[in-house]
Amino acid sequence: MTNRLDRDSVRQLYEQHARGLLAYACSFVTSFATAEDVLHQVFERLLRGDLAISGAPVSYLYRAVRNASLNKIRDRSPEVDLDEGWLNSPPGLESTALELQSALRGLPDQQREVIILHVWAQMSFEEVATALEIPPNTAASRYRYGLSKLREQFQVTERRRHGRAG
Amino acid sequence: MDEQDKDFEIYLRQFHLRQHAPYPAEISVEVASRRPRWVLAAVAAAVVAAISLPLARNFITPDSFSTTVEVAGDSTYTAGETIAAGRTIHSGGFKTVVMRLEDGSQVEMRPQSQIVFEPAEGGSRIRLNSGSIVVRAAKQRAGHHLYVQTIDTTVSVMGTVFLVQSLEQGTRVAVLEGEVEVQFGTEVQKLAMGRQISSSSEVEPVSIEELIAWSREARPPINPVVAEPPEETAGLRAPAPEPLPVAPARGGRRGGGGLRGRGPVQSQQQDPQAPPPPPQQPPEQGQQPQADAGANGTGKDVFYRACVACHSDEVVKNRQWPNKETVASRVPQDVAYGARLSQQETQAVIDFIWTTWGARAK
Repeated sequence: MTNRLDRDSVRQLYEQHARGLLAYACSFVTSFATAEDVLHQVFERLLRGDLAISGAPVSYLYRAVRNASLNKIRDRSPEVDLDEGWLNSPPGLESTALELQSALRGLPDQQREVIILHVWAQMSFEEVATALEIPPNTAASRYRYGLSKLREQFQVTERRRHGRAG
Repeated sequence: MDEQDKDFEIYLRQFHLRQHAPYPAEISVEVASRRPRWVLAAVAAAVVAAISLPLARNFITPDSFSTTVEVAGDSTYTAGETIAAGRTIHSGGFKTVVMRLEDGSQVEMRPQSQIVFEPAEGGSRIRLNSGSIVVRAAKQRAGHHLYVQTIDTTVSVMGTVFLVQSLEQGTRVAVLEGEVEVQFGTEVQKLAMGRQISSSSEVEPVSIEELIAWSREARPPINPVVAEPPEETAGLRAPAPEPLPVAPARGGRRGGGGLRGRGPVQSQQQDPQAPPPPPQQPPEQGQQPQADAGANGTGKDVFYRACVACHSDEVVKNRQWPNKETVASRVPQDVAYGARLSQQETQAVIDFIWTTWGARAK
């Protein structure tokens, strides 16, 4: 069963989920601007009535963002891959933020997306589970495994960086 | 998750997702223009506007519609930028953001807080989604109110200075100047200067000085809250002196303290009969002295300013500190992660954590 949303409902979905959806797009594409393009593209299509929602709107939106992100990656030309980062860092840690994003890209997709949604979109495991249509326990375990792996990778990257600096 | 993972998670949270763009309103305009029905819609809208505008003026005024960034801190905004109503405003990770409303009210946001400013019937509303704000509300004209709303609480003001803190356990409201009206569910209470109230018994009492330690209102305190306690409000029981105790509001424990079935409404206030406590008492008397943090304040102040800017104090409270060495090795890690502490301040924070929570406060 599918339905089309009215403008108010679309706007409400944007207000509630833009942050999570943007973070989710960032887990696929490397540029913040590209992630924003993806997000706006999805909502533009919703407003135009080009997309008819099937199932729960939230998980549908996440699927739509995922597909749009993958299309972007497929279609992009290499020269426009501007990686300006999607994380704001505390003063003095700007390069660390880029290292962190680089380490995140080294994670399996399933773990990376859960980490990004839980840490930066500030979603609970239940919310992540709803969005990605996976059981909450799966979300939690992917997070746990991913976090340990990220910590190790990040420490290695940091050590290399300090080694270079030293 | 082990301790290392938890620490790493805290570390990760000091980085923030960049602020997303506002709702793409231009898209809806573009979409409308592509459809032949737009003419009918526009005519209908014009008719509705013509009829409803005089009515709407009674409820919504132009000053309800935007806020200006006065101090941008480390957020993604710039000073002077105007933010339209309905858009979510995020403060940065480490510095406060000050927003100015058209009526002259100021809203100071604690780092990592999130608000939405929007029109409301009979006034305007600040929706506090997370974090803390201190509101210096301008005198509102007759029939016009400024509201602050969290998930379980609404605060209504006419002209005053107050703090609202949205926590996982509930909401806390503290009044620095003037008086506010606080509504938890269907309960409404007036809260006078120097008093605080929370929607849940799980929200632990904290002195107002600590609550606003992050705010510019704390430097210098705009109001010596302890010096002239207000008169007792009918029905509110006088609690013991410092530290601020938790006293049940009217009728003792009640179940209707929050929409999410939280504990009772809790009111914390100064005892009008008690002598005012000496100013700047160290938090733990009779214990080991704290290191002098110089002009930057005591260990407690520094802790709430520099550490709690990134993570909750619960993280520190709930941790096991079997000996001072565990504290002394942990705090410098936060410094390495970006906490802005001088060597002197680091030592002061170590002393504060150890004397306050070390070995379960001995």
